[in-house]
Amino acid sequence: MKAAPLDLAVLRARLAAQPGRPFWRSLEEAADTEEFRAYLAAEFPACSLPAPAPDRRRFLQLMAASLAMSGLAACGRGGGNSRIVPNVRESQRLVPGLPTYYASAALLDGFANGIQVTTFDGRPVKVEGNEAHPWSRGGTDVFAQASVLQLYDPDRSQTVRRLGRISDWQTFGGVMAGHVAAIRAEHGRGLRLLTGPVTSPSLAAQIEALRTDFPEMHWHVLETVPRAAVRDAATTAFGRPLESIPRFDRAEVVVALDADFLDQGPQQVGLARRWSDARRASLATGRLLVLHAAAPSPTLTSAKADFPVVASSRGMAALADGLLADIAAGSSAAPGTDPASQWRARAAAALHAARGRGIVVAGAAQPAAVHLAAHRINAALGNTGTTVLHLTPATAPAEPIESLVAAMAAGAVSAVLMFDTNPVYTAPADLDFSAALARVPLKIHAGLHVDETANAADWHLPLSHPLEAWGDARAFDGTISMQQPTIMPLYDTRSAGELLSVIFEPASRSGLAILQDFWRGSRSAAAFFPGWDQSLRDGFIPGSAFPAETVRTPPAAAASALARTTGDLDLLIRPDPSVWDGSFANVGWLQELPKPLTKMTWDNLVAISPRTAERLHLDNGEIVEIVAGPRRTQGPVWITPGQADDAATITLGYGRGSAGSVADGVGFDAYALRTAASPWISSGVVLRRHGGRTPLATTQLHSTMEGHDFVRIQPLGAPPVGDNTAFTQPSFYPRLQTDGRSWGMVIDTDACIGCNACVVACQSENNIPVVGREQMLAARGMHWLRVDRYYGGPLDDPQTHFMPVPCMMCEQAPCEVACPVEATVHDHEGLNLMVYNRCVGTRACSGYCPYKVRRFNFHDYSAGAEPSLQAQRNPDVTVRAGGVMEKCTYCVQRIAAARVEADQAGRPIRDGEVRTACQQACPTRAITFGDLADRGSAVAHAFADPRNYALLGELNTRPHTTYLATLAPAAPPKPEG
Amino acid sequence: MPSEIVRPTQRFVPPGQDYDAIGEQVAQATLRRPTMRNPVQRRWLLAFVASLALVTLLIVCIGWLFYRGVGIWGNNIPVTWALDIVAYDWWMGIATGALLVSAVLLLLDQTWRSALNRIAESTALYAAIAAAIYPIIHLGRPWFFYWNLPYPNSLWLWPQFRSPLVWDAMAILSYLAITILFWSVAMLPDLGALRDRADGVWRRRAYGVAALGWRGSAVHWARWQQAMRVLALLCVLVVVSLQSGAAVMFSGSLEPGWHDTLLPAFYLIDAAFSGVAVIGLGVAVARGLLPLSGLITDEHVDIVGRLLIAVGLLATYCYAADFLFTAYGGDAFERATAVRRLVGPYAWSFWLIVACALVPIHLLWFRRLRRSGVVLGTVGLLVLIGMWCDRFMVIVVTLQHDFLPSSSRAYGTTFWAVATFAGSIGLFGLMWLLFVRYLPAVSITELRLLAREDAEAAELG
Repeated sequence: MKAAPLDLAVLRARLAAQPGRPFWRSLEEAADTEEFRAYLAAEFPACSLPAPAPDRRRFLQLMAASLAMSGLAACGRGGGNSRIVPNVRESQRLVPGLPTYYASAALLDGFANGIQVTTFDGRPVKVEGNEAHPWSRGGTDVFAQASVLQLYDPDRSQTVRRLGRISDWQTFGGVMAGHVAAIRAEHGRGLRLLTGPVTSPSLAAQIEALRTDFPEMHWHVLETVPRAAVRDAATTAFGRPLESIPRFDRAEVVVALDADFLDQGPQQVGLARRWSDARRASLATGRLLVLHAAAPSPTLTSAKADFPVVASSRGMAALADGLLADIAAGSSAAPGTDPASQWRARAAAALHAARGRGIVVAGAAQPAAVHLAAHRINAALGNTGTTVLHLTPATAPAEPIESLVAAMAAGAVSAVLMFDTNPVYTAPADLDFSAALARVPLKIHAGLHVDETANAADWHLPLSHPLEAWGDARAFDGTISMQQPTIMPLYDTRSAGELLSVIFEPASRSGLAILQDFWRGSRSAAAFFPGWDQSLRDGFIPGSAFPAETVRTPPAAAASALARTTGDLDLLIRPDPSVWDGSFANVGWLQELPKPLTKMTWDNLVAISPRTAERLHLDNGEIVEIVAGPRRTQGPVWITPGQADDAATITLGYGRGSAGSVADGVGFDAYALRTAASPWISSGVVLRRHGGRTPLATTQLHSTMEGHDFVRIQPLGAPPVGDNTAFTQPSFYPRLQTDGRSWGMVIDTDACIGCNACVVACQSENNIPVVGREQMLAARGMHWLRVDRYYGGPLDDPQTHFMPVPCMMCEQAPCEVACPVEATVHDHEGLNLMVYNRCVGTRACSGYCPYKVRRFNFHDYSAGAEPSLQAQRNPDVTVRAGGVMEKCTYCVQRIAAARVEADQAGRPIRDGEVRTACQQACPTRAITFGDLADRGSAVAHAFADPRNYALLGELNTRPHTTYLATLAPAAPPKPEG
Repeated sequence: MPSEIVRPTQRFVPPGQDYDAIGEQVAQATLRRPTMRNPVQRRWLLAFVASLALVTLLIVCIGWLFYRGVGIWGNNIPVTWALDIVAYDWWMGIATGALLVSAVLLLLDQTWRSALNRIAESTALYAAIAAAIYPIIHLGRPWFFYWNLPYPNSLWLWPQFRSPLVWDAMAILSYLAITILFWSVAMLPDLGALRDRADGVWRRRAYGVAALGWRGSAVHWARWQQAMRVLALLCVLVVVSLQSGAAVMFSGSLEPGWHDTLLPAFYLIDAAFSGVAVIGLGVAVARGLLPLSGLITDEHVDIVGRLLIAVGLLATYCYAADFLFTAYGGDAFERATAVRRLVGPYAWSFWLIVACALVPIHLLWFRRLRRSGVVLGTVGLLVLIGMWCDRFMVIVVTLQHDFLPSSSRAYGTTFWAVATFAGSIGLFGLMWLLFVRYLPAVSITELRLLAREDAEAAELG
């Protein structure tokens, strides 16, 4: 402390003027200078001085004022970080009852997808894709769709907690001031930062600034879905860590080695769109973009492959090396008879035939060796730089968690700050993170929930949800996406950036200030704000994607087949397609979402192949004990076609102990079997029958088409399999009169990747209740839109087909005949309507519906929802009562809104003006919707496609939802024999 | 009359039964106070207590249902109709079948029916009441049940007249009205007789009011006979329309196994089958429970047995025809449903039809077995079980797996669904027991008429 000279005369006067008997400990204290106060607050926060006691008169004045002010404060919303202006004159932008849209970003593992958030009267109710966003192009994934429910999750953490007891930010700030001063004195030694993956430039800059301040601080990142193998392989091949991005539009052949470009993950939305666009474009040129996929455990990517093969999980590296050898040799060795080597020969031949127009891509779950082989094949074929581009990874580099655990265990860590991560639950089991964490004197955790880590920490701080915070993040290709709050924080929460500011900066800044300070840099306001406003409106910064890097030819290397211990089975650990790594576990929509391939809800599974099930005498739902070395856990078996015989697959995100009322106690914890060295696979695993079985709430029990052609296959060059016979049959009844419009939907089964984004979008848009595990077991799920999954071909090596089934909007609707009270009727625009308040609940319509798309409120499912969850509901859609039938309406509220707008403008509704929620969410644009009577409309074009056909058209229901047949290469999809 | 069956003979009136004896027996059964000492009345009391318990259960079930919604049953998507509609259709089959038999026999002037017709008509009425609770309580929002009916309202909202459910709602109301008329008008002379025999002012007054001033004048008798014939004709019509209407609730859809022109005829025959079976059961129970065995003779038992064989064979033909048409029809979905009926997860329902309804009737080809009340009652009960399984098979097998395999889901019932059904049996039993206790269980008038004809025939002979 720099001593300021004391003004003794003033001091003497002050002591004389004090009421009562003056006590003073030092001259500095008695002088009560600013410097002394700052010193005291920094060194002894607990005994920092209160302000000098007021006299009685002053005290009464203050009391009166604070009473009055507390009354005033109750009028406003608390926790705000900006001034509240009363709505004396209505804002021109906000029309009550009409939605306002904000561009923002949805985050998955730190990566952004562009979204547009619909808010009604200040409440975000729906997430839509941002059509302009250069990466996601209007599509979304299930997590973005469900993030709005996560915002309103009543189990979210709402207050600061110290050792589990409710505290507040002021106390936290006061306590931290002392700690930070101490840490600063040691240049940050002993301070560790642990976060999830960070792509945010502003947050990365804040952490960088911290590193400057605290040179000995370490920053660790815990990747629950690690991309380390990708980076390692690139480092070996090209000398630096790079991500690969396939350019499907320049390719003719794609060979996927357990690739995940269509699967859930930060890459899904962008790559799936690029894939489906390229496939459509290739069809127009007559040369189908063909996908060969080998996978040890079925994925959406392998499900969409024209030539899928079930590859042994141990043989993936050998398969990749074999492919590389085939390519290098210029021809493939005589193929063996097993499906994998035939697949390899076919893939190699196809890659050869399309030199420079092929793509070999491996998935994040594969080891670096497989990625390396893929790089080498691409280089050998001249694909690198043309069809396969390499980009800087969007995630900021940080240290892995292993070094943190080692340091904690060694007692070298004095304070650890963890945010946006839940390491007690998600850290690999062999690290024993909890034990190491217990040795750290100061443990601070910030998160959305009071989760497992929060319970182990000294301080828990509530984090703002991405929908209520300022921020930025990069998409998978590096596009910088802006994230702006769509609502004031529901609770007294801080964003990650604000949190760092609260702890480490002398004067904490708001999230907006942090973001603006970062992006503004040294620019003047005039130069900065126009572009800033534009980027907020757009939701992204144009042209901010990483440029493709020029890379060297990867060095040749000896075959890298992994040496493995032989054991009973491999255990593959994958993120869950519904709850990801567990961070979405407390979102009811996602728990109840049928997983794309197993159609399972409310559980994770031990997926084994039919042959393994036979060998071990296991049946669906039987509980097995998974023994992986010293670690073991129990889970229900699910026999999964397309699973390799030598591998069992489990998914992450379940078995939560402290996630909230939805997720607790659901499923089993796969992290318990994970090792840091090999996060994706454990060898030598044994499955033991544990005894007992658990009922599993799957939504689809029958997986074959029973000889029918519900999903039709259109081989290239073959006569069209589509037909319009559904619309040419004779009928006793006159055709329905329309007023000139006829809404219809065409769903391209070739583009549908089964990702479920449409299902969650529908649930979000239409206030569809979550019914819970018991009701799902009783077959009473409420999803208006379901994605049927059918298998074809042999049990052990199946073809997979997805078929989204909304209401067919039949012209001759059997349900309308059934209803005795006219609660389901046809309108003059071709819609089959549900009149909820007229429905008495005979359920006859559902019995009569050949497509079984109707859903019934067997109980009053929507009643009793938490108030915060009610805030999510779409005000344009009726919340249905108990005992009432409901079904897909083609989002009639959107049609009505468009009609109002068009009528006001005195014009017809334009094609594309109405987009249903499912259509909007679809990352591959598989759904076309519009006016079938308008010959120029996109949906009429799709309807006229030779691939177009009606589901169960022979019943003469004249459905308005039709399908485009799935494409297949001209060659028969399977070789003879 | 040439036929042996239709000629009134002494077979149907046991020797020693004259006017007074008949009147005394029926009235005794009705007017005596039940005590535990008398074995017959002890049985009645026990049955009454059991029925009352079941009715209490029914009230609890319905209360819980109204509170929690139809979700307390096992119904789901796709099996939106299950035990509720199965029970409804089954009770209506029993009701319409019993009424059909009684009315047809009256129209055909089969005077021997007199010992059975009251049992048949009462069964028809009470079974219909037991059935009629279901269309209301199975609704998702039962308090709006009247929206199913065309009633004048300020919104000008009418039911949707293309829906078979509307016609079914109207049919069951017409049915109830006509059955109540048929049953009560038929009872008028008997109520008069009871009024004359009853002890105590209040009993006399009660029966007197119920008898609507019946004095037994010649004009009364003539009008009464006319009215009975007209009502009987209406009964036949309403039964045919109700059962074919119930069948159209299914055949009007596109569902495999339902969408079938044979179904209305099939339903009518199945109804007659259950009707004869329930009369057989009722006859056996009445003979065991009431001191009326003197009036319901072995001849009656014999003739009900013969009827049961006849309608049973008709029903057998329908099942065979149904499978044959489906096999020839060539529709893959229909065939798959037929196969599922035989070997699917609910195949037990089909095989119980065969085992309980189609096979046991052939026992009745043997005269000795046919003339045993116990055998007839057992076969009747088995047939009723079989007919319940028929309704279950038709409804559940089709719904649980129709066109798209993806939508196929299993159906499992719950305690509440079974308890509700048991409660409806209790309701039926309670009404039936009160009926045999307080109303003339066999027709005094008609039996007396039969006895007189017998006597006249004897004099002439």
